[in-house]
Amino acid sequence: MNALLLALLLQGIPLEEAPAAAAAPAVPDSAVAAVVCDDPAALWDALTAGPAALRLREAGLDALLLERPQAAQARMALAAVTSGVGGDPRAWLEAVAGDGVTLVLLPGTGDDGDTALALWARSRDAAWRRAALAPIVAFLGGDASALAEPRGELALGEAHLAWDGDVLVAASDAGSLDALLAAGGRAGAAPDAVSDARRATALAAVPGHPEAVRAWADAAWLRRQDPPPPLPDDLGGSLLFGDLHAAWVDAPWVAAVLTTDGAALEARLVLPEPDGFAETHAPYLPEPVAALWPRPADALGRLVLRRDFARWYTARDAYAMPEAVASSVEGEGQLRLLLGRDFGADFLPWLEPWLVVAADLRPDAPPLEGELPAFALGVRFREGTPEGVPQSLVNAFMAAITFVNFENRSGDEVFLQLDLDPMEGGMVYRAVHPNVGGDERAPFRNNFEPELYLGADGTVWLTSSPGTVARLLAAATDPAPGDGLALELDASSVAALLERNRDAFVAIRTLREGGDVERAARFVDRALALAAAAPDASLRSRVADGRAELVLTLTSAVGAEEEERP
Amino acid sequence: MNRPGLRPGPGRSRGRTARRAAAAGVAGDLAPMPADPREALAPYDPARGHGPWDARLAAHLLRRAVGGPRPGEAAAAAAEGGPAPLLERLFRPADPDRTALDRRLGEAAVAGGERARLAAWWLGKLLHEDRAVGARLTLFWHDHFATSVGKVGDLELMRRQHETLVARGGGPFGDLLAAMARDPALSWFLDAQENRRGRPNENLAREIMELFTLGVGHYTEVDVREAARALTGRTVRARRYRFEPLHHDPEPKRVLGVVVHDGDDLIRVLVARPECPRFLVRKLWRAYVSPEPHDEAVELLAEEWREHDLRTDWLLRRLLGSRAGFSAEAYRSLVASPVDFVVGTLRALGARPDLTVVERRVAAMGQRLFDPPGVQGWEEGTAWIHAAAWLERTRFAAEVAGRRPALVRDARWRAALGAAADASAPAPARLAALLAAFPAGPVPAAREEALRRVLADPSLAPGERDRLVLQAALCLPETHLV
Repeated sequence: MNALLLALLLQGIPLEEAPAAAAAPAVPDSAVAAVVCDDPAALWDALTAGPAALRLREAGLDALLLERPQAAQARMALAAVTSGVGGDPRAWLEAVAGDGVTLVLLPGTGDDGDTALALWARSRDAAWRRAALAPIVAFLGGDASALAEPRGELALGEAHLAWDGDVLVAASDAGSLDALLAAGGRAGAAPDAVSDARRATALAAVPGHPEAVRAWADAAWLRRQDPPPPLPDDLGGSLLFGDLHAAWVDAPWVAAVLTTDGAALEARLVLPEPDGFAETHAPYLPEPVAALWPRPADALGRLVLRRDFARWYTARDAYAMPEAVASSVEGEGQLRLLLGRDFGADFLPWLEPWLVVAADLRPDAPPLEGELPAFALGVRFREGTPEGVPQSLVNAFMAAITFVNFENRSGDEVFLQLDLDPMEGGMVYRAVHPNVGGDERAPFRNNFEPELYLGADGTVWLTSSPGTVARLLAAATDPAPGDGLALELDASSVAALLERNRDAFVAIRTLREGGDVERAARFVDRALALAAAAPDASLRSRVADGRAELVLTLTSAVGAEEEERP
Repeated sequence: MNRPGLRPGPGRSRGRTARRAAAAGVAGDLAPMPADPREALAPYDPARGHGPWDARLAAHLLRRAVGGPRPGEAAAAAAEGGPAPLLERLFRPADPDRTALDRRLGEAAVAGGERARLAAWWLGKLLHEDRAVGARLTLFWHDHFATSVGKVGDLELMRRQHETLVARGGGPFGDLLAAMARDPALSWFLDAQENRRGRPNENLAREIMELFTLGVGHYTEVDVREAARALTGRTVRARRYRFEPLHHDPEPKRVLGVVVHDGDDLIRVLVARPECPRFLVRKLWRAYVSPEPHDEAVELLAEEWREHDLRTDWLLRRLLGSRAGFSAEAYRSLVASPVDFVVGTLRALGARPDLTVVERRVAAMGQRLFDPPGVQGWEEGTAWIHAAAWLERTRFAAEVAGRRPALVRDARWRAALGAAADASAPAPARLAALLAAFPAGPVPAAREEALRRVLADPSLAPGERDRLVLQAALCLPETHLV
């Protein structure tokens, strides 16, 4: 290795605004992606000893995973790699990259077009690093004694390894090693890719999180790998994520950051907001307003979406593929035809830009019934909505019930019949199964008995199952994010639902397993263990402050419980 | 099952079947059906020179009794010298634990709200059945007392009817008929709730006489009307059978020359008629022995059956173990229904398939369990094989041969086929092993030669040869006969 180049590399430009104290290398201008972690050992601690790991152990999922043959192979491989530092993965990370690591993905130099990988790492202790790397170098046929030198270079097959003091540089081929070194030499030129990387990682950086993993990628290169359609090819997808899609198809770069914070693990995807986005995609950006929406105590989850529905619906051909738009009005189902017919014209313009979907479970659902969660969809009419508009919604509801009856006719019996029920502050239009035979209700009809609630304050709830409206009206409210999309899932409620219906799931799974009940029970119990280990999840999507972002947060409650214990 | 009433002449029809079987090359060395009815019904005993006993015949018995042999089962039974030990196993009592488990799984399948899921549950029972009076006999009775969820509209009632057929299917026919005459699903299906004093609905009464007990030609229209009056007051409320005296016609009625007062009287009179056991023996013969019953043997068996309280398990054991049951006229004489073909194939491979996929295949071939096309049940025999159904059968064969994991996993496929799946085995051994599994017996020389050519085709990769030859074996005409 050229010692001068190495020295230049070690002085390479750190990523601007990045919180790390250690100097990270420059990203070569040919790079298509880079990943930076300033403290890999701290990240290891957070992932393996944090609340999420505790929860996995509490649920017994780690034992299930360790039973698998692949787990034994992985443990053997890990033991071999870390044998130089006593088989301790954390010590190995600290020895090799205790002061930070940067991975860079470069276009391959060969004919096959594959990408190449280059790595820069700074150790806190060069001697430890030598010990950590020696078994790997020996395994690959290299001369491990060379690592004793303060600086040096080794070719291990096609891969190349170079070190100087506490800095280690490795690449999957010699060309990539040179590229990484050359980037250090030319960093002052600040090509576009480098400035994008700086800007991206700066946007994604989270102060106070040295364990964070920050990543940047050339969005054009990613799009070449997997070209997205010019518009969402699904109308529902367009409504939910049309803004993110629009940002993605033009974005020059994309950044991501992974942070841990106590019981939470957060993954954040960031894109620059396209120029003129607010003007061209206005339905996705109604004025941000905070609002209160109900959240039943044992709700499985809640989705709050803020969109200008009427503008989106009437101009949806600008936000979705023509096939998706056509299917919304020309689909096979009569119900879809019905809903597609007058939706935009009748009442969408009069709705406030809120849509709330809550998934709930009837508390008295018998376990064997395997009852579906109840779903509720909430919207609000604007002030000043003409009197006839809510009635058009009622008309659509009644027509939908007619179609459901037609599709589910059974002899002379009506599937659903409409009932009215005045409630405090509103009216409920209830579709119920006629209880012709007494107390028993045909179980195959499940719990599908939709209700439409029209509140005097303009609130509208459309629910799938009896009693849900009453529970929503009685539930406590909490503030919903004032813009974009927010989805929250309550893991403990989901796990409780699965647990309560275990027998039904086993029975259903038995059909899939060819009648083998024991095998089905094992499958379901593994799923239950997974559900019990799952953290609460939230997904947030918004376009604001010059960026479009998608944030996934996983929160484990175990840590908090542990702390509360005396 | 075939509609009753179209009876061919005795000797002529048996000769035609035997000739067809011989021409197809599937009867091999089997003895013809004895002309003497007592000999035809005598227990088949190879030791007394009735014919051979080998894996081919053991597989034949297992196909008729439980849908087909599992891997190695026919060979093991062949080593027992005759059918008696296998029959003993096939007619042992039900395992109460398994029955309770089946019930629980059935209730859960109902909760899913889909006919297909309940049908998949039943197919699972058929696939794992090891008793002759179990799932396959229940399928016979489902066809006999054909009831469709399409009209009943209530899966739980269908499941309960299924439970009745399972519990009583092997017992006295009179008890089964009495239970079915009060079955809510069948009652609703045949409009019992509309049969009231003063305005009788004849549907249930007519089908009890025409389809369930006597057959066409053994009653008059006056008998039907009188029987309908006897059944007035029977209805369904809260998903239960209920007798409502207010709607019952209490005046005496005369059916087939006998005075009856209510439905129970009517059932007793019908079951006591000599036509009833004849009608049922003939139908069971067509389902379990051959499409053309031995008329004298039917008469004789009907009389004997009466002496055994019309217990179906006794009758079935007699038929399956008789010389008639192992005759050249019986062997491979029945067209496999979709259930027979699919279940038989998967049993032979020892598969534990995704039953929902199996149900889709069976339904696509034309047999939607719990939803027969009408009160007469399925039209069977060659009616099962039409262009659309054949395409579905070949599609299923291709999926099995291609080892679609949802139907059969590669390891089970290899274990079940043994030498047939062993690429290193010599081609003749592979072909013999394959034919021992599908169709589990000899095939005409020309077909065997065609399979041999595929197996030896050097232009095909070994895996492709395996796939094609198994698919071809599953599409042989013999594989679609039981």
